[in-house]
Amino acid sequence: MNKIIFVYCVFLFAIMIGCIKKTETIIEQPVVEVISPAPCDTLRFGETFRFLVKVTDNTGLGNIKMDVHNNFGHHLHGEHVACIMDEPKDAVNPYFDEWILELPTQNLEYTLDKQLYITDTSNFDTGDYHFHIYITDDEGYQTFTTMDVKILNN
Amino acid sequence: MKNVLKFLGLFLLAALVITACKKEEEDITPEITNVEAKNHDGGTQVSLGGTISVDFDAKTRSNAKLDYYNIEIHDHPASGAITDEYKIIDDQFTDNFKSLKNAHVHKHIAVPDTANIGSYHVVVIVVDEDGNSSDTEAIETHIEIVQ
Repeated sequence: MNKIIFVYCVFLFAIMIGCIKKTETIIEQPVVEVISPAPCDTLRFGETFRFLVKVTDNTGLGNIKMDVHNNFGHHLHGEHVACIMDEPKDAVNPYFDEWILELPTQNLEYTLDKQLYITDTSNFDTGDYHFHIYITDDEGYQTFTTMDVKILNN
Repeated sequence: MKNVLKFLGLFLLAALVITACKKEEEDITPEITNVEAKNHDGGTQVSLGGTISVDFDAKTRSNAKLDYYNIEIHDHPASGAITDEYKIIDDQFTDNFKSLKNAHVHKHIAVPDTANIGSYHVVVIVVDEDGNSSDTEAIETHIEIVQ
């Protein structure tokens, strides 16, 4: 009788395993908390700013790819914290930069704390800018987040 | 008799295992969602020489990773002939996309000064590393090009 129960259990286990859904992207994506800069912060050309971000993942980390571009036209990239914006204007000499920051692949959690520099040529347009931040884990799952800041002259 | 019942029970359970998880034909083509085309500097119209921003999310539904995406933006010629279409772009990209399982794309596309005025259809194609592909041909994503 025990043998029969055992076989039944094996079958039930097979049903359970066979019916488990495929991996859900939302579960696999890294979770990110950008601590600095904060939304609506003011950064300065020719100065560094603190980039402090906490990333967690269920398998391992990959990298952070981030760019900054102008938002003089007040465009949106999904939902994020709304800031007080300058009047819309045309870009004349907008600032653009990007960074790729490697994360330790063996870690499931990591806090990256770096000073990043904003170039100073003294003639970039000041005003509203956007950060685009892409965080990728070791398996290729990615999370995207964005935030508004102001960049002014020092 | 008891043995017959036992084996009948096992047979039914085996049948259950085989049929319980039989799903509809599984779609393993990449998923494309949240397709948007806008004036990068706000609004739904873009002037000649301006910049269109195309945004979308893509993810694989197979075991493969993403390979590349293609953005095509074409107008609707009066003749209706595909050969008469004016294309602002019809290019493939892999940057910040290849080898990922899912990706958010934000692409800037310059509108040539010589482009036709009017409504354009924006079509995104996503291909994974196994060659599975999806497109948004049937989705009405449009952008208006003005003088």
